[in-house]
Amino acid sequence: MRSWRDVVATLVIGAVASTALSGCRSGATEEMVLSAHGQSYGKLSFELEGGSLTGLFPGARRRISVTVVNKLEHPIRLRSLDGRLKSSSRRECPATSANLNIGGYDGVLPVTVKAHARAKLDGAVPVTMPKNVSPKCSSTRFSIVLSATGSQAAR
Amino acid sequence: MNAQRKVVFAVVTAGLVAAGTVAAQAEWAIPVSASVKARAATMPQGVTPSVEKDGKAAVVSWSTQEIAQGADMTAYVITAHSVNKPPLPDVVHEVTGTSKNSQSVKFKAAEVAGGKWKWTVTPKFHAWVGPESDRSDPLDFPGAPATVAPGEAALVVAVPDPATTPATVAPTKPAETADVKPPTTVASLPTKEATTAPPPVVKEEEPPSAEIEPSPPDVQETPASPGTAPQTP
Repeated sequence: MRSWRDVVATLVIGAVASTALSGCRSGATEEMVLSAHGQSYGKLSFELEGGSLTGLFPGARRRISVTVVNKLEHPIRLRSLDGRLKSSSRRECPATSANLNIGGYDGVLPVTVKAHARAKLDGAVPVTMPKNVSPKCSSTRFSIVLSATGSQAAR
Repeated sequence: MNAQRKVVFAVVTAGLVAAGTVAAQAEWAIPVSASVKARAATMPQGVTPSVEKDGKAAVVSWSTQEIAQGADMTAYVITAHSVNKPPLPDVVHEVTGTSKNSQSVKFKAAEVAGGKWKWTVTPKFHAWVGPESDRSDPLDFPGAPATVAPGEAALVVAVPDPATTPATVAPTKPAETADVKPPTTVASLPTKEATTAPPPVVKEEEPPSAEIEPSPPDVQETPASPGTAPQTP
């Protein structure tokens, strides 16, 4: 019987975050690649590699799209995906939705990812900075946590 | 009989364990998470303007700025700082930002007469205000000031925002720039009647580019300070 540790250790979720500026006349986009590696069951932690969302400003809207990489020998089914604002680097600009709003995943779930495959999800996690965000949020760094749950799907 | 019961018990137990394991494996839910870092933009310092005379008026020009690629500043506060001794009150214009590479605003003769001035530009993006630019080269406008004496009401002209409500001038000047000079008097100009000079001619006044979402007027109407009733020409 495959142990949970083995199962989880082989799961790798990569988050490919692409951002699209709202209100950009040039349609400029930024892209970043985040890779999150599952390590062990009970100690699910992930290491991030890659860039970050930068240049958020009042009225800016970005989207974090997610790619799920399944290194298991079984298909997996992604059941939920959420984004949450975790922290802010400035006390004057707390991590609240009034300063940076993280929307729910706007795609359809569940999504099945075949064994040893990767799938870019159709939806994304929207990130919006309100127009009336406090001026004290300029230059502030935020931490956003993406959380997902998945299950093993039938072969 | 006991043996049969033991066998049944063992089979049932094994079945339950196997079923439970299978069910658990089928329903395992791995809460995975990943962290994304995000950073808000930093308001840039205004670009030091250039200034030239246009008869007895001054035309101040500056390069426009973006807070991020494709996101132009929504407004600029152009301030004329007197270098007279004693200094005259600052003259402030607020100009709606455009997508052009440069903008300019005219300080009319009545605003600058009798003074020697340096100008600064302060970019604004909605409620965010960037650092004031360095001061421009000075321009001298000989003659008697057309306004009131220093310390009294300032001559302040607002540049109307054609896209929204009648423009006003907000005290957007950063506090650190309010140095030893007389307090900058900022007059509200909801209508032309409230001005002390003819309406300014600002050729760069255009609505923001279509790609930039119209923003609500973030220029707050600021009533004139007590004792600084608007002057009439």
